[in-house]
Amino acid sequence: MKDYIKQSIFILIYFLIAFVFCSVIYMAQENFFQVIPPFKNDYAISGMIIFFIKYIPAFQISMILMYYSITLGKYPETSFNKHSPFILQWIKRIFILCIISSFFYIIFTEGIKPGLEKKQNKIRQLSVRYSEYIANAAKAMKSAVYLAAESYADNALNIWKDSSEAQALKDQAAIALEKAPERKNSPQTENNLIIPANLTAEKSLLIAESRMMTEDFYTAKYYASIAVKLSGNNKKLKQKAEDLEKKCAEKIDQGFDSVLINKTQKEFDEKKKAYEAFTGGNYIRAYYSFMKIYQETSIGNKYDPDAERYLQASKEKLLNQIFFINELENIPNFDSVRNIKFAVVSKSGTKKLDISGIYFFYSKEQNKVYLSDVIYSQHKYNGAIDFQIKIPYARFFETDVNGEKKLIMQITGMSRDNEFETITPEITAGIYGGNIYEPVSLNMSMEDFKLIIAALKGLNSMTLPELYQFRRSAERFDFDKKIYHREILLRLADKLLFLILSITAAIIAFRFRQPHKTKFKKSLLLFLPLFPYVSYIAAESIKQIFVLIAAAIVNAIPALSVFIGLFILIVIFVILTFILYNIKGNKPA
Amino acid sequence: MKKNLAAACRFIIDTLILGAILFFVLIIKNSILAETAKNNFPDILYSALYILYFYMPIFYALSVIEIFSYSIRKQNLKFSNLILLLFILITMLAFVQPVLFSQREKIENKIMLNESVNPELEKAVQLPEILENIKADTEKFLQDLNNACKKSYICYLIFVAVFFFLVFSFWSFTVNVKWKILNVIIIFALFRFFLFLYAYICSTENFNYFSSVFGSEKYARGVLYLTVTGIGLLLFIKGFIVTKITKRKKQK
Repeated sequence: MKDYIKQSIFILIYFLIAFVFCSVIYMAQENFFQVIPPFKNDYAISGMIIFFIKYIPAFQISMILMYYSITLGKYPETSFNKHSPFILQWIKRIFILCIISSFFYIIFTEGIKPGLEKKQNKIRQLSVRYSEYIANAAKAMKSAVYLAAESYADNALNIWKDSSEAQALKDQAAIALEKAPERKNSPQTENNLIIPANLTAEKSLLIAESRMMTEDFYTAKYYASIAVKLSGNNKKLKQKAEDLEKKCAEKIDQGFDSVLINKTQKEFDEKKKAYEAFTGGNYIRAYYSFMKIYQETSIGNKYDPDAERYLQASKEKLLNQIFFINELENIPNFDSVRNIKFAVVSKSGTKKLDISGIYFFYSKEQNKVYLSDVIYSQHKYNGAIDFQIKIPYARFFETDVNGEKKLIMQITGMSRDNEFETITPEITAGIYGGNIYEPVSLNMSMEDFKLIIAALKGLNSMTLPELYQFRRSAERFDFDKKIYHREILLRLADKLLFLILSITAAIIAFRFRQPHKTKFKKSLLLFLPLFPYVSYIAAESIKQIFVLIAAAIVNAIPALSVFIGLFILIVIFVILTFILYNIKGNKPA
Repeated sequence: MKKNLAAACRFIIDTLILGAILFFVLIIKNSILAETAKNNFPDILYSALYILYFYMPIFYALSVIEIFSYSIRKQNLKFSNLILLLFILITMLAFVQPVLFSQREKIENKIMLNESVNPELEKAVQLPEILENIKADTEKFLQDLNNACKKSYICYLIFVAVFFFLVFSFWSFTVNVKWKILNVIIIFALFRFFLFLYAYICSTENFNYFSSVFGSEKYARGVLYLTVTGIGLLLFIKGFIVTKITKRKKQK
């Protein structure tokens, strides 16, 4: 027992020293030029750990080589007979050590490493973004666009709170803005609506009736319809509300010729048209018409609740089809580090997407993704192109269609206030069958999309479950399935190779053990750094051979590759175990 | 008799094993990366042989090192063994290797290998940085050896004799310290260091500098050869002294 404690303390100290050693080397060779100061510590620490994880196998091998080659020298040759109790005990110990260290190795490589890689990626991105903001702010200051300069500086400050550079730019912009206040934009018209809370069927029916009395038929109809909805089992109330709704509808259809008292014919015509557009599903028309009516009434300090309500309703419907380009103003910048290329393969054909920029917007209600410069094309099953469109800006969101999650891509952007300010896609090839104001439905979920992005960021930052998940759908998105098969095989094989190398090291350590009754010279410890170096070369060479074999297996039989690859390694492991089990010392001279 | 031959046999077997591993690896690599539709098997085979012939001298050196490692374990390397090993090494280097190099030139025209354009796969089988460095250093050494062989046979013989004398002098580390594993590690590390140093000194830039210092390229090479031989001799002397001391200790 005492021996075990002693051994584990030795191992712990050894790996601590190894970690310090790795950290020093890492800090010496890394220059952090792409990382901004507030993230430097985080980046350095995660970098150190990643660096250390890379060398764990080499340290493990050299530990076994050193520790056992010295300690076995303490025992006389006679205790090393084949299957002697001492040898069996020793083998048991080796296996316990290997299993425990493999366990830790798995935690390090699969649990900690991908997270750290992701973190480093994020820090690098933020740093790039920060320097872009600063550059943009300075540029805006030079061209006297102070408002933009201020917002860029603000964005930079969001990333790095105590940045003196960004603060200085912001102050400069603020001073310049004060001098030229006319440059400030007029505040945006907000369509915030107050919808009465805690409506009951009775209450809404009451409102409807009172509105009917004032000949405000739109509002009356609206509340009547709410009353119908809320009435539930109350048949009497429901009947009453339905009658009222019908009456209002008739009045609206008649065009109010008989009840024109307060309003001009034109206003009602407009309202009617807008209403018809709304009921007919033309939400773009309806939205802008109601918007116009709402704005006109609000100028005259009048309150038109039905215009407001229908404006809200048509806005909600409209936003299912298109997005407001005003939202794009809130996007600091699109992450355009790499093109996101994928395809959605289905039986009817292939939809291909090539996205240059991306921005994730997280909110409580819905996570949206904004895209810039998207090339979207559809291909027939035989590969012939149906059409190709170039979309300047698009928006992704997820909806539930019959319990199946689908990603919706809105390809047209419109201004919130101006009907004629639109960003529409441009058809570059073929004939686009659909309506450009209608969103495109993609047969995938947001989760898939995130996996695709993770896959494009590199295999290193993907965890094993992510890889496994993505492997199944890789083909659907036109990714090479083999890459993921190989990565899964290599990740799993890495752990087995770790075991195999440890056992090989134990065998070598036994064979090259110190002769009995020789004193260990402490000065030899100076040569210790050579051990990890040579071990690392050996481990990497063996690993590289397996990488080639794995690539060959995956190329030949992708579906069974993981089993075959692991089978080969397990056979090697069994052979090594057999050798270790039958190990014996020299014959006594 | 059997014991005297052991080292020589081991040398041949080791060289063959190392060659077989490289050959196997190359064939796999070629068959993955080459576009199979355009290449037939002989092409893949030839290109593998082409590289294999090139790497053989390194395998001789590695085999010698392996024998030294084995002798560290068993402590059975006697003088007669060493002589036989030396004899077979000289045979290989002086007679077999030039033939392999000339064969290599003959194959060169036959290879019509179309490398794949799959960058992802190429990246996947790419060597890690540390191995890439070793490969580059090794290739520098081997390329010089090959060039010397093309130049003249005498040139080649001198080159080979000097550097393999150094490799052979690593023998002195087999009797270095009692901690056997350290001896093995030192020999391997030293071999790697030797390759690194050679590539560093003989890189065009540095070698031009040395040439300008010593007057001409010939002199610079001469100095290099003499230094290497000197180091080799020193190592041998050290080894002999250590063996004498340990023998005396045993006799006492």
